[in-house]
Amino acid sequence: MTPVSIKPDLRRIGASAFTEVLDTLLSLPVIVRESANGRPVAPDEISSSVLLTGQRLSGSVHLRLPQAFVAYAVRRLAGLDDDAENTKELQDDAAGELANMVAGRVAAKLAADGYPCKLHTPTTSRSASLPDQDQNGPAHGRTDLICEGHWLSLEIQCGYADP
Amino acid sequence: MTPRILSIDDSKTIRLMLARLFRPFACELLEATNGEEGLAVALRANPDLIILDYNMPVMDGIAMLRKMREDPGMKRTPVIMLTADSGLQSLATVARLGVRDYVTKPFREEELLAKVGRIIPLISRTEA
Repeated sequence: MTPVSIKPDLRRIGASAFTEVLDTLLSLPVIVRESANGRPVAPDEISSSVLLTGQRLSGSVHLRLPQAFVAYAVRRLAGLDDDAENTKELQDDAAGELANMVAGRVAAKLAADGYPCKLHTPTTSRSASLPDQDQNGPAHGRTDLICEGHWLSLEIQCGYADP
Repeated sequence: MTPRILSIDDSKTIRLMLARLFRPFACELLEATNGEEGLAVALRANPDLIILDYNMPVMDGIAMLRKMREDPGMKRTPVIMLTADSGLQSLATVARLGVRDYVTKPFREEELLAKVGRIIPLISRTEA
């Protein structure tokens, strides 16, 4: 009989990683939503992604964040009083750094489940899309949170080398 | 003498965050955006402490540390590594390069201040 390996629960990992990052960095409580039903599309959203690669896994972590939330995070983190300094460039940088931190937590949890992996440099774009969820493609887990009144989304995708 | 801290991170958000964090203290904060630039600033300014990001473009934190330790005057400069990657492999690597401590991103501000305070005196500007 061929042993079947138990794959990580990506939704649980994502919810835990995202919550930890927001709590540690910004001391902000979050409400984890069971689904994305009712999620409004903010007029300006920022997507940031980090690739994960390891011997037994290749995957990615994607965040989708309203621009107003990222601007708020920049104000808190950098201590900026002047909105003129809260530039698009700085918000993109902050969104990338948030994705980097969430991906770091995700990677630590995947490693604990037997799938160690390395983080790549984050990329950021001004688009409101998360990767498509192909039922026949890599495993995926989506998490939607509400934080400070903003809907934030996280999608983890993982392709495994073992069956 | 006022301690000199060199912050090397490609993220402007993190550099601004550290600038805010150390503003109340009597210290001079220098900045660089990657390992190559950080190495040049370190060799020129001889900081009392370097807060170094692990994962950066151009030259990452590990490559910068290796180069820096080749300089006789920089062999013992204290370094705190910032990393989002808490994997055991990267922690073992930084330990071999004489990193004094590390902080996993995201970090609580008091955690970083406590670790810095164990290496250099952090005196409030109002007391200095």
